[in-house]
Amino acid sequence: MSDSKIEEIGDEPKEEPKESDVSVMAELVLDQPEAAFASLEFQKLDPRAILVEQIGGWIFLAILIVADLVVFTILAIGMSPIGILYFSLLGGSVLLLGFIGWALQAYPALAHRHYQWRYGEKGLEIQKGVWFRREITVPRVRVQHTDVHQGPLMRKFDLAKLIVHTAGTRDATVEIDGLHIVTARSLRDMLIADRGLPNDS
Amino acid sequence: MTVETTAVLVDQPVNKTTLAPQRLHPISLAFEIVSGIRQQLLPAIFAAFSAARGGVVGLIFGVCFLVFSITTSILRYLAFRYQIREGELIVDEGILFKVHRTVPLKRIQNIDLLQNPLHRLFRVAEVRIETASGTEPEAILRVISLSDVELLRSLVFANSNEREVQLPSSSMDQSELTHRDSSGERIESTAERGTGSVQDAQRLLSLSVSMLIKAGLASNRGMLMVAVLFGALFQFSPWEWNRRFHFEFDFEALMKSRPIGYSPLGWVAVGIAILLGTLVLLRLLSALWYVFRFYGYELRRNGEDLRIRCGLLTKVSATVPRNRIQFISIHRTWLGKRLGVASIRIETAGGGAESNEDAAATISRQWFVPAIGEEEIATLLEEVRPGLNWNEGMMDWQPISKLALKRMRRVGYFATGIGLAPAIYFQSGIAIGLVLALGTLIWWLAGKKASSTRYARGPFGIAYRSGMLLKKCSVTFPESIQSVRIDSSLFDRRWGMATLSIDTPAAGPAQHTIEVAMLDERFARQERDAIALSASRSTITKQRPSLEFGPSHVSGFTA
Repeated sequence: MSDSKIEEIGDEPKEEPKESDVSVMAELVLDQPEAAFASLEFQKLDPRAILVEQIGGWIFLAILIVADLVVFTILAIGMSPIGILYFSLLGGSVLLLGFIGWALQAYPALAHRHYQWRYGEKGLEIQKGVWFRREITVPRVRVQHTDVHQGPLMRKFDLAKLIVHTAGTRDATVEIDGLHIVTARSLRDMLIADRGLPNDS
Repeated sequence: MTVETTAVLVDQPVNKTTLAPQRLHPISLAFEIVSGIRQQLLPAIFAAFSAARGGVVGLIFGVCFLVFSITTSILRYLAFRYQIREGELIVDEGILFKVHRTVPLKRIQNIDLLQNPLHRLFRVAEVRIETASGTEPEAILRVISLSDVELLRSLVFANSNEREVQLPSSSMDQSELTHRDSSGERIESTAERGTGSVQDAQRLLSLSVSMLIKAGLASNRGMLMVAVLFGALFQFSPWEWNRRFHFEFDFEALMKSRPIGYSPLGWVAVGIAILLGTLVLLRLLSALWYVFRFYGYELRRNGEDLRIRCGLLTKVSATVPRNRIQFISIHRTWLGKRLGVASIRIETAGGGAESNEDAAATISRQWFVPAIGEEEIATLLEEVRPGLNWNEGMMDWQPISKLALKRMRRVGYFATGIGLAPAIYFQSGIAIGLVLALGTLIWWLAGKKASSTRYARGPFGIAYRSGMLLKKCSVTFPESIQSVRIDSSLFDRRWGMATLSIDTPAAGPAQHTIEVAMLDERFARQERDAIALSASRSTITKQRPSLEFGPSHVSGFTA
C-alpha cells in the first residue's frame, strides 16, 4: 500500500500537492494525532471530478438526443403534411435539450465550488449543496468501516468515491464523491487508524 | 412428553449439557394446519363458490390446495427439531431448503414467551430465543409445552454463571404464567432450586386497569382499530357479499325518517352529535385495546435486562438489555396531560426497520411503557438509564430562532392567500370570512409550534421537545450520536436559520427523530461543533466506541 502511494506521488508531485499533503498527514497522524489534525483546512474535491460529471452529463444528453430524434422521426412519418405544429414541437425540444445540456455542463462546476471536506479535530466534515446546503460531521470514533469505490470513468481519471459507514440510520453512509484515488486511500487510512477500535477488529 | 430422553450432565462444567433432538409439541401441527388453511382462504372460498355452481375444476383446485397445505404443514412439523449439544442450541428446520441454526448457549440473552388464548388452552407457548444480535429472535419454537419451556430454560441458563441471576425471574415468569392459567397447577421448576436471589428481579412498574383505561382514553388507538377492522372486513369477505351488503345507504329513507326537518341548523346539530359520538366511541375502543393488550403489565429489572410482561388474551414477555437502549421518548397527549398519564417509548440499535415486527418486539420498542404517571417518570428512567438524572423542568431548553414565528406565520398567510385566491376572486364575502378564520388559526398554531419546539444539551446527551396536541420529548445519549448534520435551504439562509439533525442507531418506532428545524444558524453551528468535538475527543481513550459504554462514559460528555 505505502509503496504504491510513494510511487504515485513521486510521479507528479507538483500537479497534486494536496494528495501528498494528505498522505504525509496520514503518516503523521499515526504518531501524533492532535498535531496533524489542527493544521488541516477545508479541502476541495479533485477538479477533474467536474469533468467526469460533465462526461456523464454528455452521455445522458446523447441518449436524450437519440430519443428525441426517434420521436420526431416517428412524428414526421405520422404527420404526412409536416406543418407548423411539428416545427414548433421540434424547436421546443431543441431548446429544451439545449437548456438541459447547458445545465449538465454548468452544474458540476457549481456543485464543485460548494463541495468541501475536512478531517479535523471534530472528525470528518463534509459541506455540499448549491441550493440546499448540507453539512455532515462524523466524529472520529463513529466510523465503522469505509469503502473506496471507483467506477470505470472515475478509474480513467484516477478518481474515487470514499464511503464512510457509521452505526447510524438515516446517515448511515456518508460519501465524498470525486476525490483523487490517493487522497481517498490516505483519508481512508486515517479514518480507520483513528476510529478507536482495536487493530484486529 | 419426551423429557425422559434428556440427559443433564450437571457435574461437567460447560459445553456438556445435552438435550436429545426434540420435536415441537404435537398441537403445533394443528396450529400450523389452521394457519396454512387461513393463508389459502381466498382460493378455498373461490373453490367453494365454483363447486356450488357445479364447477368441477374449482373443486379439484380447492382439494389440491387443501391437501398441499396440510402436507406441507405435516412435513414442516416433522422436519423441525431442536436440541442442545456441546453447549449449543441447534435448530433444524425446512423441507426443501433445510436450515440448520446453531446458537451458542452462552450467547442466549433471553427466552421470551408468547401465549395466545389457544396456546393457553393447550398449555403450550411460543418461544423466542434471543441473543444480543439485535432485531429478530435467533430462533422461534412455535409451539412447545410449558414444561418443555421450563426444561429448556433450565438447561440454557444452568451453565453460564453470569446468567444465573436470571433464573429466579425466569421461573417466576413461568410459574405466574401457569398460575394465571386458572388450572391452579404449578409447574415444578428446576430452575428455582439452588439460586435464592429472588430480590435480583426488581419490579419497576406495574399498571392497574384504571391506569390502562386512562391511557387508552388519552390515546387515539381506536382510530387504528377501526382501520384494521375495515381492512379485515374487506379482506375476508368474498366479492358477492361485498356487492350485496356493501353500504347500501338509503338516503331517501334517511331523509324521510328525519326527526328534525330539513333545517340546516338541525343537520349541523346531527352532524356534530355523530362526530362527538364517533370520537367517544373511538376513545372507548382504544381504552379497550389498551386493556386487552397491556393487562397485568409489569416491568422488571433483572441485572442489566429490562423485562416486560403483559397481555390479557395473548401474553407477551419481552426483554430489553438496558445498555442497548439508544433513545428514549416520552409522549404526552393533550388528554393524557389532563388525566396525568404519559407513555415512554425506547429504541434499541438496529431494530424497527422492518414493518413486520413480531409482538414481543412491538411491545418492547413501541410500547415500552404504555402508561405512566408524571411523577414516576424520573425514577423509572433512572433505572432504565442510570445517571440520566431526568428532570425536564431543570434542563437548559433552548428555543428555536426568534424569527421562526414570523417566518411560519408568513408562510402560512402566503399559502392561504394562494389557496384561496380563486375563492376571493369569485365569492368575496365567504372568502374573506375564510381568510380571516384561517389567518387567525395560522397565527395561533405558529405561536404554539414555536413555543413547543425546544432543544437541550447536557451531560445526559441531547434532548428535543416538540408537538402541540401530542407532545414528544426525546433524549439520546452521547455514545449514541453517530453523526451531526446541518441543513439549510435557500429560505433558511434568508432567515439565518438551519436545521440541526442528530443521527443515532435507533431506527424509528418512537417516531421522533432529532431534527430541530429553524434554529438560529449560528447557534446550530455552535451546537454541531460542540457535539462533534466532545464525541471526537473520546477517541483518545482508544476505547471501543458506541453502544457498549456504561454511564462512566456519560460523565465525560460536556461541551
